[in-house]
Amino acid sequence: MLAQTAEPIVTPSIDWAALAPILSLVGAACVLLVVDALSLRKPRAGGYAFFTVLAAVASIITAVPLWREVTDPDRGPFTILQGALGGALGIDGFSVFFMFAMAASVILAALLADGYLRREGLDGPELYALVLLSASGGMVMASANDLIVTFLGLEILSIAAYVLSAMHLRRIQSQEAGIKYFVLGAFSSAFFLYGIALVYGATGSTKLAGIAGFQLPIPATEAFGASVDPSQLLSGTIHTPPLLLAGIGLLLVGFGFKIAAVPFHTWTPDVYQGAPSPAVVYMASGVKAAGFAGLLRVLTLGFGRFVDDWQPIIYGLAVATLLVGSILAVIQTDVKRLLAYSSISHAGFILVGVQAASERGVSGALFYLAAYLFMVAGSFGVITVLTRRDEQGAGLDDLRGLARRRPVLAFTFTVFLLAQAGVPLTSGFVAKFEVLAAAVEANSYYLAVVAMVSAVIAAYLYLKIVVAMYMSDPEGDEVVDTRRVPFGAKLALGVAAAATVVFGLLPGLLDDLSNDAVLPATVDAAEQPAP
Amino acid sequence: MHEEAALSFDILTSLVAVPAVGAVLVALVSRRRPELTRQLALLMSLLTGALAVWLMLDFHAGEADFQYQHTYTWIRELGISWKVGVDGISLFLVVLTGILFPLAILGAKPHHDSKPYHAWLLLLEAGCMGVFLALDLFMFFVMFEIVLVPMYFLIGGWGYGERVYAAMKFFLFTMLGSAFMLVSIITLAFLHRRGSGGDLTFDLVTIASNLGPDVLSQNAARWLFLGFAVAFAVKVPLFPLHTWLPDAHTQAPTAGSVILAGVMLKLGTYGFLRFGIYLFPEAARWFAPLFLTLGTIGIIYGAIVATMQKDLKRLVAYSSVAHLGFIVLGSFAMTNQSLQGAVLQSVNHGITTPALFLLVGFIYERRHTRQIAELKGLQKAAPVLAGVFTLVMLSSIGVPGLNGFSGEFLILIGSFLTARWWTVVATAGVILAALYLLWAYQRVFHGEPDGDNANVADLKLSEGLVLAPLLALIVFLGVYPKPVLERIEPSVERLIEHVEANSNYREPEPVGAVEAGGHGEGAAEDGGGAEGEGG
Repeated sequence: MLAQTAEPIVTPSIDWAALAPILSLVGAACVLLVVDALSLRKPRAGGYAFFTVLAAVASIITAVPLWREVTDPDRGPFTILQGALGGALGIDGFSVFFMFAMAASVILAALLADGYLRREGLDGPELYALVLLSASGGMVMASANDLIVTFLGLEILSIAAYVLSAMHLRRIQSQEAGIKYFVLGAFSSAFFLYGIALVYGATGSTKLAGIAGFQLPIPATEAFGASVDPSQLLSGTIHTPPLLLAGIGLLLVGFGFKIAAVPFHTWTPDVYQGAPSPAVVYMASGVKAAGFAGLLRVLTLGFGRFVDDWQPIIYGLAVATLLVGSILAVIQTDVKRLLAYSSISHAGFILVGVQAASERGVSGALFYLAAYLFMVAGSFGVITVLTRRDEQGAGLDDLRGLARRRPVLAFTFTVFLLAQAGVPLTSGFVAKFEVLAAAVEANSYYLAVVAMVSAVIAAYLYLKIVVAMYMSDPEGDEVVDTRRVPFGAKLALGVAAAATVVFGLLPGLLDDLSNDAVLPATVDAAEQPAP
Repeated sequence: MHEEAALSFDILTSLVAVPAVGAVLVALVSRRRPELTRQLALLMSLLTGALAVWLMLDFHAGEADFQYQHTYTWIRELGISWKVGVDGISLFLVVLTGILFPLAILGAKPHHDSKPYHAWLLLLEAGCMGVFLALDLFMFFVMFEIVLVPMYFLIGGWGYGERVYAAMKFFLFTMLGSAFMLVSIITLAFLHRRGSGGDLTFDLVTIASNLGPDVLSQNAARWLFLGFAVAFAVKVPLFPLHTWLPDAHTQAPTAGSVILAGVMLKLGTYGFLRFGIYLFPEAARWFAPLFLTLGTIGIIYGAIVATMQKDLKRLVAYSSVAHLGFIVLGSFAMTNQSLQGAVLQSVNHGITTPALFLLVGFIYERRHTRQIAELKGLQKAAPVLAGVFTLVMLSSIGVPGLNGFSGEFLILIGSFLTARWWTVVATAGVILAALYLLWAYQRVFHGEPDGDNANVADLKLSEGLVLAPLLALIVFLGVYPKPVLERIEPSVERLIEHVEANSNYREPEPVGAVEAGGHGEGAAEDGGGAEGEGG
């Protein structure tokens, strides 16, 4: 890989088929913006959403043959289609899995956005275009084989997300969310970029394969440049250079911000509370998935050999994220804010899978992300439908007696909440089971216990919502709520609820996908002997 | 699968599936037809009950192994399957579940929202059946945990006064316990795979038969046992983890209390026998003094606190803490008789206490209070109700000739061999039970009725019919427990052999049985029968 830099520049061959899932999103976003700017008449109600869903479905359809190809058993495990952009993008099971996930997130957000934007009087192509662009950035992150490309994807993902959160013009909270997200996000990008620079300084490469293949310098006590016996690395006589360590640390800060890991989580409650609900649907499902995709890919493919260096950091992040997320969620009274904290706690669970640094860990994290995508999109989807103009009525008290007023909606919400609490026969339980299994396999027993205890704490807050809906009478006069749930929202909530239950009853369906999507772990912690 | 299994279909899975399908059907019925939902729920639960009774009749007595086993792959990659089987330890709990649910539906009508009420009840039945039938650790955990949801909604939606608090406390306590069990289950499966070199599996029998010291170190086994034990101790509940129980029992609707006391507390005691002791024999022996002590504390503590209660339902709730203490004592004393007694007493308590809760529910329907101080002289106005109450109460006290005696006697006589001093203290609990129940009876039923108490209606025929099967079982099991015991005995014996093979525990010779009549289960039977005629 290093040798490539010395060769004369050749334009890389481009495998259009492998890029089609990404390009269909980008293309659709451009078409949306251009056509809307040029045409005089507004399209029929739901036109934008329909077009966006169409684009995402196209993305999924073009990704299916890729999935067939990369998971073809004849080609062996971990097939990578190298043709795409001269190896800058690696199209493998992992990245195709996230193409599906990002497209699903776009579809759910678009379906929910349609009715919402008309209710709020904000109907226009901007939100759809931004979600499509952001999702394309997420796909790039999930398939990046080079830190620079990861950064490109991260920025495409984030800048669109900053604008998304500030989209609600009349709500001051939305403006505040946008500014806050942007400033803190810019900071984290700077950290990330600095991390790339340090890693490059230490290893001489920004390619993940180059970093993984980097020859460790011998300790300072010996002469520079001597060859190294690989067994010395395992025996601990060779240490990772401080420059590289600092680089890894800074990269983790950047990723930690995107996935809202404690202590980089402070933006989440404000942004989730302030941003328009359908945008939150996308941010909580899509942006979070993309952040984890980047994290997993970089750690496994790039820094798999330095697992001993980053594993303790992830361990600490996981513990802090699990506990802080669930404990702070308990005292919230705004449902969107409460779900924001709970999403932090879920990030902790996914980190438990990442921390295992094994194939089972990656597969568990992927399962969790996919299951969580539907749960959280559904939860915020219910909030999208429930709130009135200007997002009024998202307080815990506003949900009182909902079961009597709107029984179907309340029951759907209950399904999502129970799934988030990890009740069996929902996808949420299997997801927790999978990451715990990975943690146990990697001998992280205490982490598994911490995770389960935090799940119990978090269960309290989901039950608090259920209590409000089912076991409390509304304050004051009972408002007759005759609003109909828009068709798009119905469809989105139905799909999300069905996925949550079906993946809970028959986890094998999703399990097979996530197992095919794992990355080749350089060091499989599970194979290490027990301490 | 059992080679002589006469039933060509998977009866055990049907026991789970019928109520689950029933729950879905009830949920599909229109909200405006509450009577139809009730009838449908009743039909489905009766069908389940009939299947359970059929199972009992078809069950091969004298056989120790699991019968009617069926296995279906569930999650292939993790070695998880849907595996069901039944043996002497679980058989009668399955039958009890099958009998209690229709009675609970018949005996107590919801005051509102009939449809979700019955749907949750049927789902609860499916979950309880699943716990007793599961032979796969994952499936067991799923079932063990899923029962929380319907019970939570039943207490919170149809309970009394402090229902929301009680429901929340119930859910969180139990979930915290099972959180540790989940980690233990996963750890056990992975240690088993690592030690035995095979595939990952969650199959109970496979794991239990491979757990030599080379697979699971003594230290690890003790930690894992503790993880399981916390979950079961909350469910039983053992002192000091019992505080959710009085709240949940008191605030739950009558049907909820019936199922909670009759079936759900048994999930804990059953879990100790089927999983705790079976998987970790050495650890269970090592921890036995702790659990014997906690059980005994529960017996005495439950009895004393019950004496002090002002609320009749709360009194019955605390009496459960005491009774369950006996079962834990019997389980950890680990002699043939004490274990038989523990299983039998699980069933007995599941008959007597639901009957008491139904009776308290009937009184509440009439007087709209459960405060002992406000009730007086009900015997005058409602003699039949008082008579039935007397019989059930005597069974709860453990008067010979009724079912409560045969179980407690077996537990005490069996435990005396291995846990002498605990047994001595526990025996005092029998006397305390007489104290709190008789005193409460005196205050509620004796004396001259005043005010509303004088106009209390007597037991209606429909209410009597609900109680009739329970009363019949109370008398039958008190006089002639043999058919039950001879089905329990082989499985219990097998469990003891398993413990002896995997720890340094050796069961002492049953001296008590020799003195009483020469053979094991004859003791209770003879004693019970003779005393019963005398009284």
